[in-house]
Amino acid sequence: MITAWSYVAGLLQGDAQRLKVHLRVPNPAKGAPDPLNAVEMSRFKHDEDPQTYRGLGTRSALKDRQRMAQVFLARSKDAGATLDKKLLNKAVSQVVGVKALQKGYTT
Amino acid sequence: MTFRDFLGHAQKFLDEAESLPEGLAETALMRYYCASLVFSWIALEAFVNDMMGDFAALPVGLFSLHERAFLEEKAVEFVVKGPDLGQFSLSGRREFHRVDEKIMFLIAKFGKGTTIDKGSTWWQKFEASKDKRNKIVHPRKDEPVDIAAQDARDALDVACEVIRVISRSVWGKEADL
Repeated sequence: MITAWSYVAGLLQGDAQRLKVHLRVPNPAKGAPDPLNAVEMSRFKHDEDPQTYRGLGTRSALKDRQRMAQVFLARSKDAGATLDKKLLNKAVSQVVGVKALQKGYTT
Repeated sequence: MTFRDFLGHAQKFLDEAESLPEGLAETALMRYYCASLVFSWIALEAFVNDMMGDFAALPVGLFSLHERAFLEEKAVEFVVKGPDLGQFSLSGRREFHRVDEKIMFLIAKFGKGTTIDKGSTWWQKFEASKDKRNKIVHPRKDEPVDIAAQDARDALDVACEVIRVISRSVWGKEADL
């Protein structure tokens, strides 16, 4: 979580507006008591994940760091964005999609 | 719910049918078989739609207009007014595609050279199970719905097999069922 957050902070140094959003604590998602929405993150599982996957932000493997970095990047695009299920789904979909493309595709 | 939940429901209805007392009327058993078969197909569709969604979430411009329209299940329209006049663009109108077309697209586009052999065992089983599903979801009075335990088992096997084939082809690894 922290490595992904700090990586994105570095990445956004050239974009003051998005960096400002990134450095600000987001409002909690609807129904969530905390800004990071820990419950939704812990419930998260993509179809690609093994059944034993414990959710977003719980491990520091490459896959998890990539996903969290994309979550923070997605959030930084919109000052009003919250870390809700929709944002988490989209961010992880983007990571999975890019990784599949990286392995090859037909033009 | 995820595709795994739907597969679980399909299995549960099959198990329940098998645990019912013997001698029960065929129509009573068929309720369970139909439910199981439909849940198997829902699982497959959920998996395919989610995978389409992964690619649809990528930035605009990575795919051609027609590919983008297919991924988002939206129609392509010819623009006759506004700044994009005279060009094709994505319309707000939904245009749904059959699950077999989506499977063909995913494997052709992201399968890294793998192709679908329509004569292969898995595709033949897929087609046979699809016919059974269509009889349930599009019933007609002159085509009796006659679903047996084997049809429900076949549908579950087909859903699992097709999910394995697609995940292997696109992700390079099998989905954990």
